[in-house]
Amino acid sequence: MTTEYPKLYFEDVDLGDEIGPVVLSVSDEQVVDFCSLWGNPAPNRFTDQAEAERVGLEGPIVPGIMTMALVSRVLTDWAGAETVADLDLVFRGSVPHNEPLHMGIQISDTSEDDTGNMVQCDITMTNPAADRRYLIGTAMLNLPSRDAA
Amino acid sequence: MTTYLDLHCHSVASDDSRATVLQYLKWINVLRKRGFTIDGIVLTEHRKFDYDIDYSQLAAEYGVLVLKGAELDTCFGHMLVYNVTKGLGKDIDFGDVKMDGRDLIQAAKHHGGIVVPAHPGRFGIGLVEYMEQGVEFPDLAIVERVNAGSKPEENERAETLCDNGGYLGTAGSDAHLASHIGRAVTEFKATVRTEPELVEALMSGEFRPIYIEETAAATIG
Repeated sequence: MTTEYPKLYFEDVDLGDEIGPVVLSVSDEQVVDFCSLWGNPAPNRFTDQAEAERVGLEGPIVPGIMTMALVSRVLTDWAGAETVADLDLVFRGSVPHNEPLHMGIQISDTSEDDTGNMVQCDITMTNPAADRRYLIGTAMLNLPSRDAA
Repeated sequence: MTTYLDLHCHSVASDDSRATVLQYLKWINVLRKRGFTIDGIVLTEHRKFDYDIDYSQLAAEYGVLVLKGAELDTCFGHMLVYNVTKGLGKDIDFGDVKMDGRDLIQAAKHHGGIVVPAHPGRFGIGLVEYMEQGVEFPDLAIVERVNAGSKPEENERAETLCDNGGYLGTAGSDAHLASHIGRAVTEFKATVRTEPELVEALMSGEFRPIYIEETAAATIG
């Protein structure tokens, strides 16, 4: 699932640039594995239909922190390890298992200051038709400069 | 002169937004480089209004009109208020999420403002839900017909409301991210430069809701 990108520098990005398209999918097995590692073993609302319905969900959902981890990995695949300075996501709907998850990532701001070469990305995750929004948010990346390379 | 305004957006002054006003203005210049036309925005922060904050210098720097309104919670859904005055702020508690929307409509009118229900087709919380329960809004003439943050079926309900109820319709992005600003705009036949002029333009009925893509034709023409 990992996409190979060339090393990214601050000078390579510009306001309005888009990353992707990136399409993710999370299987039942991946959620079970995540919950096991996380210390929340199945069955629970993330893995089991009956448990999900018991708490008012239509079906099992992808845990929020797993979704954040996936988003973070997309960003580090693109920008490189240790570039994500901040990730701020607002969930607008439950993220389903086994469905295509379309991520939109756009560069919404760039700045150079004492903290580094900062790039802000707007992030959305939707269904393929983009009429179901699962999350919106922003990430702040600190990219290396070619001048320092 | 035609004016294109995004009548519904939120800066970080709203708790669920992640965009600053500066980022919106930068993004509008991205849209302009892509061939779209947008003259300005109206900030409609949730449940509040800052009388003191002044964006005129920033607006001039980026060549984008920045007006201020509010999006208030009412017992009949969210309502956009344009030309907020201190008098209105004295009569209405902006933080009262259960206020009667009909009182807000009356109070805004009394103080020279105007109320436009936001995303009226939204399931569970939109104005259409309450109209279907028999609630009447005799002083209402305009609703938000196109909300770029709504689901297609929710905008279809708003369109049906306008077409069957005879309401005029506005458009706005409902942006909470910088890259979402301007996705839908209201095209006014008149020049709009201030909040009172915005109310005048809305009262005139000489406007229509459009998606940003439609403004590309305006640029070419």
